[in-house]
Amino acid sequence: MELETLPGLVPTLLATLGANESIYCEHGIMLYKDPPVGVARKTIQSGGFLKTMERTAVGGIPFFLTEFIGPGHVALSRDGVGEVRMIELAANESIDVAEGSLVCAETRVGYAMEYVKGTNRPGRMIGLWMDRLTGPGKIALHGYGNIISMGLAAGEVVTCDLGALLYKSASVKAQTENLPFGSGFLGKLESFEVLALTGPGKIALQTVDPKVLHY
Amino acid sequence: MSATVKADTVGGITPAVLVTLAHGEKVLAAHGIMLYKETPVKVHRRTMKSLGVSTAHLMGMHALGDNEESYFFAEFEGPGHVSLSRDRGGEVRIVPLAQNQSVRLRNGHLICFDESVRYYPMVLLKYQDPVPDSNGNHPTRYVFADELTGPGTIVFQSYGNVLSFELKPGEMMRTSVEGLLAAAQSVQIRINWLAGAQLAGTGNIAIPVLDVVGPGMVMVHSGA
Repeated sequence: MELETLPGLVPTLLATLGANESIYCEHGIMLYKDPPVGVARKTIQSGGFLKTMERTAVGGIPFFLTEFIGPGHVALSRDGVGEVRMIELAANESIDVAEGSLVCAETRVGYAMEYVKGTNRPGRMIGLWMDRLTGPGKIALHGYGNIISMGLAAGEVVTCDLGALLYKSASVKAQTENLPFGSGFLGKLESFEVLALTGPGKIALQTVDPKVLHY
Repeated sequence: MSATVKADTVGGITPAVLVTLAHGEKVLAAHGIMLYKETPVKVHRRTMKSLGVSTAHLMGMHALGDNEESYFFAEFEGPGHVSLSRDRGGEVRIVPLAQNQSVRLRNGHLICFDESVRYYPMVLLKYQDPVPDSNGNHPTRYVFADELTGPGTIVFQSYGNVLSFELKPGEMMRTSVEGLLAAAQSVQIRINWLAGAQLAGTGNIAIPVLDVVGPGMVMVHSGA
């Protein structure tokens, strides 16, 4: 299997699959595929029935992923300006990827969902879900805008915008917070909703919030 | 005390600005554009009133349709780093302003500025829309700008690429209304009209353009 980035303002990932090699990705991001490439449904198994209902009905996360089975080529695009980054995960290494940023992963990469609790204020009551990917295997991510990577020491904290996080090591703790915007009631009312990331581990931020129209 | 503003343009697609603040140094930024900050950096609310912009003026701007204008800025106080992003493709420009040097920047493009810079939102010009609304009226359109006066550094972002010009006295250039990004205070800006296509249904609808007359700096951007 070969994963290759076709660079440009809106990059594309080209996967070249051998016979019976397969990748999985989110439904609906296929740009094209060769006719011999088979398409199958991959069920997301993470948490029980209630957790599944919560993230699909409340969070808008799909029930299924799409699996492409070789031989042949399949091209995938996240339809956004940015960079595609390839990561090789070691055995049992886990990272959490922001919703809507996974381009594809080898089938042997484990998939689950990680929930980050919201701040219980309007607009962020339900929290956010991230894709938890566990190696070994190769994955491709789409960072909207440019990607800024950092390593956090144990206990080191970086505060970022909710839309800025692209991925983090599973060891990095993510917690939503209201960052007061000045003092008093008005400061609380106008507070920033941010994500406090506490090391140790790697994080990558993206310069564009995917939910903001950026083209 | 002014901050040291450094732009990080990694990859060049959607640049972010990295501001390095020493202890007690402050920088003002539009609300909600923070990408990340280090823990020691404090965030305060800075009212427009404290910058000399009256509430009545702001309400007037809102009434005219200036939805970009907020009643507050976010004030970041060092020590540490804070990174800011406008979530759009383009170029970041860092412009140091001399004492009493003024730049009028199209609203929605300002990223941050030193505490020493004087800020004032304004109506740059207005014109009647040539296309009538459903009642047959021609609504008034406003072009809003942020007037920034030195000394200090300002940082802003274009949408698309920036074309910079230095106009001589009396020298004129013509831009689309959306294309104008920034101009020195000494530059005169007037609305003008280009003859549009003769359409059977609506007749001749002219296209509004800007006549920009020097002397002074003018910046035009390729995205609107």
